[in-house]
Amino acid sequence: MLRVRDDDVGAFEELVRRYQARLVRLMHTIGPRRDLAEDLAQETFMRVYRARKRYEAGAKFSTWLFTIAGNVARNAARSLGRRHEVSEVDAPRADDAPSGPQLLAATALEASGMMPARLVEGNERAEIVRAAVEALSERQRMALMLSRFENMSYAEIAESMDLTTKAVKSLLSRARVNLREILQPYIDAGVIPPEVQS
Amino acid sequence: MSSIATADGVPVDPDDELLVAYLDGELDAQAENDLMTRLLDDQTLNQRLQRLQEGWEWLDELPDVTPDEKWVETTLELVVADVVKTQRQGSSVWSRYRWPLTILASCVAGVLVSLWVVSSIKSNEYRQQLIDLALAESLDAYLDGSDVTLMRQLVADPAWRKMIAMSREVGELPDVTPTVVADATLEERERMIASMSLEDRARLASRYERFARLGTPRRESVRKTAAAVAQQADAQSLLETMQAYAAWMENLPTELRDQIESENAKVQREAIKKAISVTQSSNRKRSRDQLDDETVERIYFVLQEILQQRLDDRELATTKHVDAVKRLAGHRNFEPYAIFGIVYSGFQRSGRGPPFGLRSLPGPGPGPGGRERPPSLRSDELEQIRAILPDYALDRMDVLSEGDSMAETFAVRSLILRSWAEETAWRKMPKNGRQESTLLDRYNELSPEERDRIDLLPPIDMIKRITRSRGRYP
Repeated sequence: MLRVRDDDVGAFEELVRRYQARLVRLMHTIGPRRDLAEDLAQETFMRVYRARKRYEAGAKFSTWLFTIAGNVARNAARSLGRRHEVSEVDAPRADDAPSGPQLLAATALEASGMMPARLVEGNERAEIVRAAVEALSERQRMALMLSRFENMSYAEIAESMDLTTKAVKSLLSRARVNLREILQPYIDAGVIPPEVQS
Repeated sequence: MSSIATADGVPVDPDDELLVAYLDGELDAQAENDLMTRLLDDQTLNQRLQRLQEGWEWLDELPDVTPDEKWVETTLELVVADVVKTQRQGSSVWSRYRWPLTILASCVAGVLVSLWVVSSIKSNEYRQQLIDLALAESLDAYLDGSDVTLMRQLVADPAWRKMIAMSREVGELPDVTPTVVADATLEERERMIASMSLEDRARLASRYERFARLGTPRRESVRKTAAAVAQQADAQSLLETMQAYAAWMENLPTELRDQIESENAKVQREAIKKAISVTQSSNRKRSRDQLDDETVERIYFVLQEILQQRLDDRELATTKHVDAVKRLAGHRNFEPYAIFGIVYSGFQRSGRGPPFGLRSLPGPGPGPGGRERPPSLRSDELEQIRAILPDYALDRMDVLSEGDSMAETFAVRSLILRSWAEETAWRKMPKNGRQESTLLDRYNELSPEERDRIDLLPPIDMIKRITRSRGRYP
């Protein structure tokens, strides 16, 4: 990143390649819509590049990157929320790519008569998990993703999310407990949890 | 509606928190050991741990994102586009008004620079003018008297000093004019110039214009001369000598000037000697022309006495001269003519001649036709004239006749007294024609050659020449 700060374009390209998959996956989880994940990831990289001169040597790049990513996701959610409020007045929004609990709920409802063995196959199981994750609060999702997939310590997560370590600990506890409780009926008996149906 | 409280603010069971921390590896060794002990003893807690872990592991079901080369390229393109856009946005105002602003800024800068340059140049020019004004004040001195060695030689020459004093006495040379501008500091000069009379200012301006018209090399030469003079211990007296020299040279014939400026020391010496003699002669003539009425009356009174004395003494030549004059001019008006005859009896030697109508009068000694002329004024008679002169005329006489020796002084004094007597006789002549005839009459009396020469002169010189040519300089 220090090379990027000094306007080394090659170094920036290397950073994009290294972090693109992780960032897109994070945006899939914490972003307001899955179909916007790649756009939000690109937006994040653009902000990284714009802010490169403010990067301080010694700081962990991933921490800094995910801080920016969290901001981008929050801003996108706010922006979409405002647009949704406006568009809802006149016409229903075209729901080409329903995201979050709504999608999962729709899928689950359609499959409510199916056996769990069928549900757990393929993308459907992933959709259940994703719906469960999306049922968590935004901060829990963020903390969960950073802990589970980025292997960041509580301290690093706290720095990325501008929280205390204790707060991160609570967040992750709630996230795990909530996730367990949401998924448990499905894991145990193949029953679609009500949290992902609503 | 969810039955699970997913909100961040909902309290978490401390055991769940402990278990999650354990799973995340965030417990210290002691807490971890304590938990391990509990887990061994508490089956329920153990199950809770497994469920927490199981739910965590289900996250692996989330699909991986495959690196996409095209996405990387797109991202880089977006970043580049963003950078370009940002730069454009950052400079949009500047871009829009770049040329007008650049031109405006250039104009303003140009004007400011020009003003500064003009101001600086004017300031420097003004300062240089003040410096040069001091030089212009004595311009002729610096131009003609640049040879400091020659100036020192002249100062050491008594004849030159006397000639200069005499020239000043008769007004042939101006008195020493103290420098005004040169003596003031640069800061004082402006005020000094403002306080000068209009005439002095005009004179100074004229000299400055003359200085400005000189070529650059000559101006620099003048500046160098002035600097050299200023470094001399006797700078002021040296400058006065230079001024006198310049004024003196101005009245000398060109040929003589060239000789004085010759690099041949002998030629220069002889030329200076000759020039001094010429100037002295001119001074004497000038002193004669400047005689005032009081002096003329006194001299004429003495000349009458001298004539009467000669007649009383029955001096033969004078008696014959008077008889001849009486026959020509009559008994009543003979005296001026008789005196004129005595005073001008030596005109052939001095190059002077009697006025018109008197050329037939007898001169001293055997003259034309064998007639006797009256003797010219004798030394004792000249002394009689000197004795009766007014004090101021005597003072002038002393200045004009001062010589290196008594003999020289006496000889010069005789010359001056004789010329004054001539002037007196001339002025006392009735109908001498000067007042009665017009300038045109006098012009017409001139020879054609003389008229041709006069025609080329400036009006003032023409008048002077016509006036002079009237009999006095045949």
